[in-house]
Amino acid sequence: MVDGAALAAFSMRFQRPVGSVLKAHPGVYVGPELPASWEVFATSLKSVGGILMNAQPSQAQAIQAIIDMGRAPGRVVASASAAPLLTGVSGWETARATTTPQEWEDVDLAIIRAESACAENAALLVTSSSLPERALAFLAQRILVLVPRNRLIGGFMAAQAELAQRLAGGEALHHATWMSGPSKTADIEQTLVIGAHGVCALAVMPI
Amino acid sequence: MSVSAPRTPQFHIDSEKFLADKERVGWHDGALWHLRYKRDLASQLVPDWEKLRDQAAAIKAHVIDHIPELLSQFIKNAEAAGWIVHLAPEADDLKRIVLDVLKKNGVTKAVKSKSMLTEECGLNHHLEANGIEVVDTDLGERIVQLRHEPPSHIVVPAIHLKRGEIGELFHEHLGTAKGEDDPLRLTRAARADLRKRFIGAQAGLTGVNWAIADSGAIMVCTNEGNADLGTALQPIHIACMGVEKLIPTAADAGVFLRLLARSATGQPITTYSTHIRGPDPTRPGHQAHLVIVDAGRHRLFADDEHRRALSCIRCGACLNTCPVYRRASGHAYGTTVPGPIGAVLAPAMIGTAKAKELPFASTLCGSCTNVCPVKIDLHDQLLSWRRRLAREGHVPFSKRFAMKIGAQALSYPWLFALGGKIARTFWGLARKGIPGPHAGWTKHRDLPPAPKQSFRGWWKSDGQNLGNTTNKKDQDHG
Repeated sequence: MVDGAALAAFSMRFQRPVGSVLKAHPGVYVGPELPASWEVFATSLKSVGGILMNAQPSQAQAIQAIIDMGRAPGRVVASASAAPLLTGVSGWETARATTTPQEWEDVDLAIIRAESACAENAALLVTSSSLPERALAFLAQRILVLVPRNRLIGGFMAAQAELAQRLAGGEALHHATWMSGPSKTADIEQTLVIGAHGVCALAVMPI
Repeated sequence: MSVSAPRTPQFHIDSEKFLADKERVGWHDGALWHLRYKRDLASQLVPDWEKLRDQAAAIKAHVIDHIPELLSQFIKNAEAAGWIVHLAPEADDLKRIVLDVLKKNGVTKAVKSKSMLTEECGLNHHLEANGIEVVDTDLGERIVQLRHEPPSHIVVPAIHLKRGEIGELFHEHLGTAKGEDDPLRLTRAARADLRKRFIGAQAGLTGVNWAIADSGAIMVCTNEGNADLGTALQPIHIACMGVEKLIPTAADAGVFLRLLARSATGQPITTYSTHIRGPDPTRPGHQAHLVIVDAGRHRLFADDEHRRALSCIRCGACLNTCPVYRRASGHAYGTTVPGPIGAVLAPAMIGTAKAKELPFASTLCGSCTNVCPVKIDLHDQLLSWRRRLAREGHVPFSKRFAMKIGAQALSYPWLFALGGKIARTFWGLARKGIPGPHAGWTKHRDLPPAPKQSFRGWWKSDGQNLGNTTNKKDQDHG
């Protein structure tokens, strides 16, 4: 626990003088309502280097095609929350609970389930509730994100407001990440390179 | 190994080094302008861009006025979530606290994601001097770390380097082929090397973008995924934050998330925008430390004219747009945060005597103010620092003397007229470059050709008939 006296001394340095008029919080910003459109999402996703996949001709066949796309027979691991969505698909294993997440280092394809998606910026939400196997989503070379079709939110203000309520409202979330496309960098001469430290490819399939 | 803590800025000397290579200056200018251009495109796609900036500025103004309240609320929630919270009033405290945690846990290898705060405090140097290997994992930061240089930009730390130089560096340190300068292959080589380090490290150090008071969560944003790989694998996470990073709610973070990446690189949001709250429950024994740092921020806070600069979210937009930064590059500033915002922060943080040159490294064109997502009045702040530097006697005699002459000339019309005559006579010489101690002034400035006569002379001979001539023409065209 932080020592009370130390905190008081630290805070004193940032205390406005007595009688100062302090600025009030401007209130919650809602912003313009943006359409929850998968077309808008697709445009945003393309701009951040992701790929939108349709569950055609069937969900299982579409996922199977992505698994089989791997050049070598690589390891395919699904998060526990995505596993129930993979009936009829072969060549994958369920991520088992582990205290040594390093063991996912050799995963070629991770299949995870996002809780929601945002059209404005193609961000996909995963949290400790849907993805306790957090490292899996960053160690894999490629990732397939399954997201419920009815969980698309238009604007990011609304999307983040929903998460803010969960964080403040007592849900014991340890982590929550918005993922927008595959990892990338432009640190060498401003040349965009897809695949920095996280995944090198990201596909989204609305289900 | 790393660079030591920031030096005393000497802009006029250090900018000269970069400016010597004209071809590189042009290329650097273009690279940064490209970022500015992408920022323009992205911001124009957001219908409520200006409202967002207003909202962001208002949230930050509220935060700055309520740090004690937000801090105690944040600490209460953070500790409830299992964070071990430390307070670091000075940079030395930060260094001591982090080293203590690492030593106590027998850590010898740590990975670190981008944090301008720890850079500013010289943390890497301190840890390495005490036998701990710290690897910067942001690609740009890794590049400058291998070169034993400080970053030259807060978002793209290696923007001053060309691919060939990075190729050379990677050939030497990562064993890439000699002459390899393809950004994709160089990035892949760094990826392979750093992956081993992410897995082998016993601790992960990160910065903090926002600390959310009502939930005790922090946010860390990266495009590369290095902050996530640098926290999800190691048994210890140490997050270091400046106290100004507090915000009331995660909903407020939404405003900043919409502004940050668009202002920085033109992306709609950073690739990975992660909230973390305390230790990971799936990994028993996982420790989560949070160091809350002042390190001179209270001096900025106490300064009524410049307090607003604490609002900065480190997007780099003011650097990318600044005509001086784009040509002089970040190393010229000699501070961790360069560019317009760096020149505003430095006099408060390191003192006016040390930072006296920086507020003058600006044309006061105001472009920085126009792009700032949190609406810091940067060019006004630079001007107000100049005033204070003059009051405190930090402005060189030549500049004060010239200003005095100017004030005199503007006070007496006859003196102004005489001065004009003299100036027109010697203008041609001045265009070739002023000799003597002020040669520097004309080195990178092109004077326009001198007019043949003064405005007053022109008015007497032609100007006053201008109206009549125009009227006559109008009648002619009738």
